[in-house]
Amino acid sequence: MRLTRRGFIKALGAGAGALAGTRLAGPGLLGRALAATPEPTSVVVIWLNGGINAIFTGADAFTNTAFGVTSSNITALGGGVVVDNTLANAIPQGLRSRVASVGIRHGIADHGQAQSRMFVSNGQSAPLVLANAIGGNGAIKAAVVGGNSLPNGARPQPVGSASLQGITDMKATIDAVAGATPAPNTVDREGALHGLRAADAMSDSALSKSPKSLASVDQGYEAAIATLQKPVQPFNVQEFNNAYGLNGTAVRGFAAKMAAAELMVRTGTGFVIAEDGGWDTHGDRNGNTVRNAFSQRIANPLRTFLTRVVEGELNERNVIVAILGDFHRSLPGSDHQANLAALVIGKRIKNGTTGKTDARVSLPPNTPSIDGFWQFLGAAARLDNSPFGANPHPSLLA
Amino acid sequence: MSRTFAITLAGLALALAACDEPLEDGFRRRNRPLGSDPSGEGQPGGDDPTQPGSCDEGSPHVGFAGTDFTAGRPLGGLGADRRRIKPFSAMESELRRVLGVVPSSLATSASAFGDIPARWYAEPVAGAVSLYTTYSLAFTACYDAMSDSVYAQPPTPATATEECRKLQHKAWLRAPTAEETKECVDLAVTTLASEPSPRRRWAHACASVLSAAGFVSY
Repeated sequence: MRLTRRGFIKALGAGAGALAGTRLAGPGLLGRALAATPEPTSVVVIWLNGGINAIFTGADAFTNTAFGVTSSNITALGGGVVVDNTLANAIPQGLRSRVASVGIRHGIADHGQAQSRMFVSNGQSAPLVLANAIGGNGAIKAAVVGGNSLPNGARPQPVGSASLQGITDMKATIDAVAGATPAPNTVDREGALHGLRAADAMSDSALSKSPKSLASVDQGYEAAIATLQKPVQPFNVQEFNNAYGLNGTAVRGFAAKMAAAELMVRTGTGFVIAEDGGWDTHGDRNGNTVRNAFSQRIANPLRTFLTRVVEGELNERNVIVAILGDFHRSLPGSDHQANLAALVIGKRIKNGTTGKTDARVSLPPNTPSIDGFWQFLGAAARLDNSPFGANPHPSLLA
Repeated sequence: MSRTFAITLAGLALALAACDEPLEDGFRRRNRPLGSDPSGEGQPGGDDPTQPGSCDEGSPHVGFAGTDFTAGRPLGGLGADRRRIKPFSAMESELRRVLGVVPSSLATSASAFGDIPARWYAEPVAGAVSLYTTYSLAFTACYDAMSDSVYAQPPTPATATEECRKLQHKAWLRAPTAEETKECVDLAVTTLASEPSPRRRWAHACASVLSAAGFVSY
């Protein structure tokens, strides 16, 4: 008999049930990797698809010279971190001392390459390596809100207990973690747990014969069963809708994505990514296109999220928010610059920058590349043994 | 007469022996007998002739620039990875085909399966939430469809075997294996024995069949 990952995990679940001596197979064991962090920890990546203008990571490099930057439309947050006002105004006062700009000199000026390689470290999916290392109590370890894949359509292989799960509807997600309103013909969580286990077992033949084309089904059963094994977590769709100014439950616009990101952080998910499109801003010489996009789509939901989840739970959680994109926009025409910086906000972050460019949007030659970014996130998450290695940006952590 | 008979026998023996050996066609692909596989979807395994490595897969095809056009072509087993996930748009007609009813909540469930922009195509992807939603929708549809008096009685091994096998065959469009039917029967008869409503026990068994890969993929 061939020992597969699928067979191994199922055997582990059965063994856990036997050990626990309960009818349920070891509540939460599949979803409860030993926490590698001292507190509930989540990393939320906001990916600006197309690129991130350096006015959001080091605006003072361009004062009175480019991208429409003047001394009156930028804010110094401290430690050399100076950002455009549209972003600064979205950061609550209580978090402004916890913002850093992390340089990434990746040398990539191609969208597809940048979107793919930014999420790979040592040949593995960096988000899933991070989520697996964070561990924690969430049944869903890594989530993409408002979609089913990482940028460039990547659907990475699971890493340990972490697979990438799409969150595309708030109500359906809340039903899964809290159960639907009881009625004779609506499903109950315990019955659904047993039923999905049976469905998974009935699917063995098909899943083993289509391991790639049905990989998301295989991973989906595992995550759904782990979710139903968890204690009920009560959430209210209307409360999220009120906070983020939403109507309906589909996770479509950026505000809905941030609401879904909050939901996932609160359920214990270690890595969440929210993508926003339309940032390939060629010809945006005065920076107004990106300022308008940021103020119209990003600023309000970001402020809500930062206020409620990062600032509001500083004593309970370590939530790290990283805002970045494919690369910086170059001069003079806002084209492709082969580097970028990520603006990172979080409990363990302190003001500082390794991502300030010069007036030509160049970063110093010794600026770390993509691995350095994930090494920094691992350190900010306070992983016991970071799988990414030592943090090359130690000056940015408190 | 006996000589003709002997020659015929020898020829027949040669033909039968040849059928046992791998044959090669003009493209150097060898023909080997397939093992028994009730689902007909191929059988992965180290010595399986349906898997890569059991025959010459093809010749290099080098272009004018010296690039082998077949170099990046991934190898795959015969019959492997043939199944694809059904799109949400298929669920209404599929539930109607199997159960004859569609729950009203289906109309507001599309986003749980991921939105696809108009005039775009995206290969469907499953996940924890979409599978839970599938189960939830299937449970409601099953419960609503199972209004017959037979479902007011708790399932027994005999009745559950009969119902599970029938439903699996109809939903999956193939005969289930004994193990697959046993999973459904065990759920209805044993695992959910504490569920006080027989109709809900039946509905759970039904929903599990409709949430299995045999129904959510094709």
